[in-house]
Amino acid sequence: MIGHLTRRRPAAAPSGSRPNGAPSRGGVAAHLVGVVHLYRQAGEDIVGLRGIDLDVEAGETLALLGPSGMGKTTVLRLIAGVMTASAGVVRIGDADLRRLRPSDRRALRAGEIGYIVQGTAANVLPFATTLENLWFAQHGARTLGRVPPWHPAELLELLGLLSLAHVRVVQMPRGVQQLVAVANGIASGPRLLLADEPTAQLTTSSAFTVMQLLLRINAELGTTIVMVTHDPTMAALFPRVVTIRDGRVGADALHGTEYAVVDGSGSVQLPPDVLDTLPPNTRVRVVRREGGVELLSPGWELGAGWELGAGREPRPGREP
Amino acid sequence: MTRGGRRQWAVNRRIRAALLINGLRWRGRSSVAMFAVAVFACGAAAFGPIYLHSSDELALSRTLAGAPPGNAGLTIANASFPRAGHHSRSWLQRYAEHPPEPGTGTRWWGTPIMTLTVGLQTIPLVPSGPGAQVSATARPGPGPLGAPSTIHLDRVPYSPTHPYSGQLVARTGECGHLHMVAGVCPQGGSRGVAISTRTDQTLGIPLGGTFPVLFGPHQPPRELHVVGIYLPGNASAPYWWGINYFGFDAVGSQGFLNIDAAFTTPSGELALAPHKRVTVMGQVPYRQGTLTTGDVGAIRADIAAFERQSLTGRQVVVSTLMPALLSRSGAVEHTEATVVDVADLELVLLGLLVLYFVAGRTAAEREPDVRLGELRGFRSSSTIAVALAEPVAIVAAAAPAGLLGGWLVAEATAPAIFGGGVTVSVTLLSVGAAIAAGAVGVAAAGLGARRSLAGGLSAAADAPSGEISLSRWYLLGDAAVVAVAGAAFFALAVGGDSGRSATGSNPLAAFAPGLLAVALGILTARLLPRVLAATHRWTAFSGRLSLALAARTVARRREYRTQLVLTALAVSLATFAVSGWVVAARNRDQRAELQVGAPRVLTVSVRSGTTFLRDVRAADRGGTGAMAVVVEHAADGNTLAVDARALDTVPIWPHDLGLPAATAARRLLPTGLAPEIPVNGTTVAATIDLVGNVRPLPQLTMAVYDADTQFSSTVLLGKLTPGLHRYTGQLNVDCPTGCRLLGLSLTWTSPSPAAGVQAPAVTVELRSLAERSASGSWRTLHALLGDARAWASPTGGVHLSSAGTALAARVSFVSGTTVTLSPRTVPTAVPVMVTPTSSSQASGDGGPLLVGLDGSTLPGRSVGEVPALPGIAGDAVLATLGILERELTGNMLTDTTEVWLGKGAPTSIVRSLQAHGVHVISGASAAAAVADLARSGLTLAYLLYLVAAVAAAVLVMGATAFTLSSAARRRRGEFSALRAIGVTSRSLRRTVQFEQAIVLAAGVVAGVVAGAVAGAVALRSVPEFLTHAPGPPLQLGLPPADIAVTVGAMILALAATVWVSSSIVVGGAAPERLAGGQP
Repeated sequence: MIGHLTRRRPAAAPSGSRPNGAPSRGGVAAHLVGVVHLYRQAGEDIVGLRGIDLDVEAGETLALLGPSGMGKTTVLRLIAGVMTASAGVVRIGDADLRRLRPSDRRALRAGEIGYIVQGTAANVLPFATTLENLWFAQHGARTLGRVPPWHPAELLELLGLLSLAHVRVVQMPRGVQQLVAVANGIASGPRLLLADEPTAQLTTSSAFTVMQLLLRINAELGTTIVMVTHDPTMAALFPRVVTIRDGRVGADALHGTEYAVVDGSGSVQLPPDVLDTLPPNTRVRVVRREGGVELLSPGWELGAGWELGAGREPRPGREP
Repeated sequence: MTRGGRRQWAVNRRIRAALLINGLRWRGRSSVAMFAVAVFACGAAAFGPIYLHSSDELALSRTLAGAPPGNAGLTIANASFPRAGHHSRSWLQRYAEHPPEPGTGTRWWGTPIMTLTVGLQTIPLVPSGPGAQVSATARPGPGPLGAPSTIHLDRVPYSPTHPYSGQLVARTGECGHLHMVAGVCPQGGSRGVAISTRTDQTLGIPLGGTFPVLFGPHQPPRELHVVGIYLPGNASAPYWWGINYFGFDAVGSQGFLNIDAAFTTPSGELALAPHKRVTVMGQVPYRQGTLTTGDVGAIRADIAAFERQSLTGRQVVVSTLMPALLSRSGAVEHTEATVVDVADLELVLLGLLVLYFVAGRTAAEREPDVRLGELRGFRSSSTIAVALAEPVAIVAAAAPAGLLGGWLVAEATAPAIFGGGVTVSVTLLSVGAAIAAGAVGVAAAGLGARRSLAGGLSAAADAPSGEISLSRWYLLGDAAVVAVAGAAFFALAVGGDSGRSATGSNPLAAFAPGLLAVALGILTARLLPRVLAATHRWTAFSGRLSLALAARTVARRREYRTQLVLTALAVSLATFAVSGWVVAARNRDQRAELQVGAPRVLTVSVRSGTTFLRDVRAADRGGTGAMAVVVEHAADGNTLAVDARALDTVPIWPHDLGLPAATAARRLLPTGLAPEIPVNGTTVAATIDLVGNVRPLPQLTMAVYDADTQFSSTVLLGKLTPGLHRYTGQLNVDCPTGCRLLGLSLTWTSPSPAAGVQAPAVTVELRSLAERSASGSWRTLHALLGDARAWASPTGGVHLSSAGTALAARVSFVSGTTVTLSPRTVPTAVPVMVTPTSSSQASGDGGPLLVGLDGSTLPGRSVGEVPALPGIAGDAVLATLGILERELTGNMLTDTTEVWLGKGAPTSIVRSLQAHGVHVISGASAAAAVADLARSGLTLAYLLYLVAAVAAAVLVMGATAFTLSSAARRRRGEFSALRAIGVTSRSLRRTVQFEQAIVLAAGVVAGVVAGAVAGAVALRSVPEFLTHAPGPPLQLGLPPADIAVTVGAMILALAATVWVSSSIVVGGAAPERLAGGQP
């Protein structure tokens, strides 16, 4: 069912800074530095992100995990260029999104970035067939003078979905619809695929199928994938899982090992279970140890403490 | 483009088309709704010009068909007509056979009719008996053709012993229009003639016999050989072109009675009559229905060229009233076009507004597609294409569909609206209108869909939820619309003024309700949220959950504002249209009825030898069914003489004339008049005692009037000598049915040639008046001589007093003048009702002048003024027929005699009239006039306005249903959530119903106010009510009952729509549907 995903026409060169360039093989890195985002509401502003530092390397797969309302989707929208950060830097490859014009950001989404938003319906034309959906998804690239890396039928064949080519999306089961949504996301051959809750409201079987497809896209095309999920099971299928809590990076787990992350301001977010021990407003003493530091509350100064980190190795996002 | 490129291009096109079609199908309900509205708008736009074209055609054909026969045709004659001689016949015929034609295969003109006419006078076979003298006032002299004086006889009709005037006519196709009852119609080279049955009976000539005639002075008598006898035809039939060849019994210009024309062949005519006396005339009939509005310019130019060419070529005069008829039709068309345009434009604008509204609602359904395009990095143009492709495609498809629909509707309704014979055509204008409406529809749909484009993904992501932002731009826009609408309404309100002058008309007044409704609707929509906010407090904890939810929803959601404005607009149009229609119909009916005069009006001919008033009264013994009417048309005014006794019961006399008919009748009848003094004998006598001495002796004469023959006669009674004497004289008129005494005259002439010589005063005592038949005894005339008030002296110079049973007149003779003593059977000044126009013609003493039935001018006394008189134009006076008959001293040659029949007229009245010598020539009825006006151009224009109002109501019902339907999907989550917390579906349904009730009630109130105010202010400017025709004051009051019924019907229809739709909306809400995501 699953064949090799090869592009019809390899791109000339990586062009993260050249949004109008042709799509290229492999992934592209994304970096968020000190990103703050405020949602403007009538009467008050709501802080969505409180200073996110996140590096996603080219070709990496990353799951953003966390409860609802913590800022995961906001991170994804900022990377997609759908929104602009209130402060901080969002960089895709060499391109600083804040410096790009809206048309350039649109061009990025037409080629470099594939974005699968939350909810299947928002990613597909329900009344259209799969082929027509893929054609529609490629239309942005075509209007920019780019030749999509594959013909819709070729892509469907590669994804093993050719039998659905002429089936209208509305007639498909929800899991299959989500596969089409994923196919739409990569129709124009992006080097960065952003997927917001791609397995939400799917059966486990369907969810695994979708995840399998995402992993295969990463494995065979080298596409960088950033996925938002609130399902730890699905997140665990990705090598790297970053937990977003309260608009900050709460943890960065690599191959099952979770790390707290020190952000640019030196803050570190304690895991929730530690908060039981060190509730908010607890005074702690930071004690340097060999290979790390200890946080000691007054009641624990006799030796009890908490090892916060173990130096700079291993770095999140890198292979151990 | 490479082959692969072309292939790819084709693939792209195909997929685009597939996406478009699938999208339209996916949003089927919205697509259908938008398509329906767009078809409506385009159809309305196309329907207007189609309707206008048909109504213009109807106006043109009605004008041409309603014109008197021959007015629309061409009359071709020699410039020296009528004495052209027959030599011009051949080239006149050539002109007649080649009238201007359009050259498109259609022929405007029919087969020409050539007519050869020559006047004739019959020669009596037997001389008349004794007494055949020409009376003093009977216009003695040679006959019409200068015949020998031996045949000058008095007017005793129906006798072969008297001469008659007539015509010998040869007319193309006459045999096809003469109904022969005996013999044959002369054809080919026949020299025989066909005479009418009446002529046959009068002259007593058998079929095959001959009778002598004269064709002019100094012409030898000719014998006419009768080969056929025909039944007199209908002179008003188109073939006869309004020329009455059947004028039997009418009085000829020289006092001879006419016989019907004798018909022969052209060769017969030329063989019988002297050629120089034969006049030739070509008549080219217009072929009814062949001229269209598109031909008007061409036919005008062609006729003008034909006239020029004919005159310069052979000195042929072409006369026609066709250009005048076309101008008249054009004037109607112009006003009609303006009203139709306004009504149609309002309908189209309403359609476009609804289209904008629907496009706005459906934009939300297309928004995910637009967002998806933005997500995939589409350029702005591509995003716009995604947003607008479907609306544009729908409207583009709607334009031809609308054109087709407009045509079909017009085709289907044409027979009912226009009657048969009017073709419905798709004109270039209608095509252009449909296209223009489509183009504007695209813009409206684009504007409506702008919300799906505004902001884009980031705005959607950042947008605060649930808050209606009171955009400053929206506020400014609303303020601008209100200001413009208010200013335009004010301009219309003060710009038009009904009933004063045509310049005050303003067809654009029909825009008033729309303008006012938009302004009021917007204001109401702006105020409604604030009003509703005030109710929040008492609905918050009142337990009225549905009402509380509805009030808050309406206060928050902007979409209801458009719905409110739409409702206000439709209700306003309906209110105005119904008001206009009812008011127009009311006034139109009244005017039509007043124009005719009575429920039925018969134009009659009165056989000579009858007295009209007496005979009509005899025919209608009840006195309430028929009224004798004589209309005297004169250059210096018209006189409407009626039987005042029936004025209260027979004619149509609107209350608004300001004076009840009974009062008018009472005022018209003078009191204190002496009865007429009938004279039946052949010899009259007057016994007079002259007291005093006057030399030379004055001449005494007596004047009598024969009402039967309408001739007056003067009898010389001799010289008046002092002392008591009887003066006798023989009447020179025959009074078989009675004459009446006009008076006695005394003429004194001084031997001195000096002017103004006065004789000494004498007293003339009139002791008695008597009469006797040829062999009978003297009978005293009942002349009330003992009552000086019963006598008067119209000439003055006399003092009258009573002397016992005698009348004493103290007379001062002036040389050369006549002193007359007359029974006071007529008032000094005739009481008349005047109109504003007629009252301006005043006599020397300030009273109005009126024209008597014999054409003489009489002093009048105004007893009241009314805006108009029934049955006659404003330039007229109304007088009592009985009085004017007494004023007669001559004949009524130029009068029109009519019998007006009231609602209570017996069915046998026509027979009864006939039995009394009153023959019906033609008839008219008020009902027919009303029906005829109902097909007039302006009526049709306002009918469209009414139709537009109904269509607007239907449109708003559809918009209401669509609002609810389109909200169903959007509000499913909201309702499901409410269901999940325990709100019953009944409460939800009531919530929706309350929402709509609030919006629709506000819209209805605003609409009724706007429509009623517009009606009260602007109806007076509507051209329908502006007319030069005089009439009672216009009734411009709004009809509250009709408005209430109309608005009530609309409310019921809207309520039913809401009731059905609310069930559908709420029916889909269930707690288990709270989980979304499924497309």
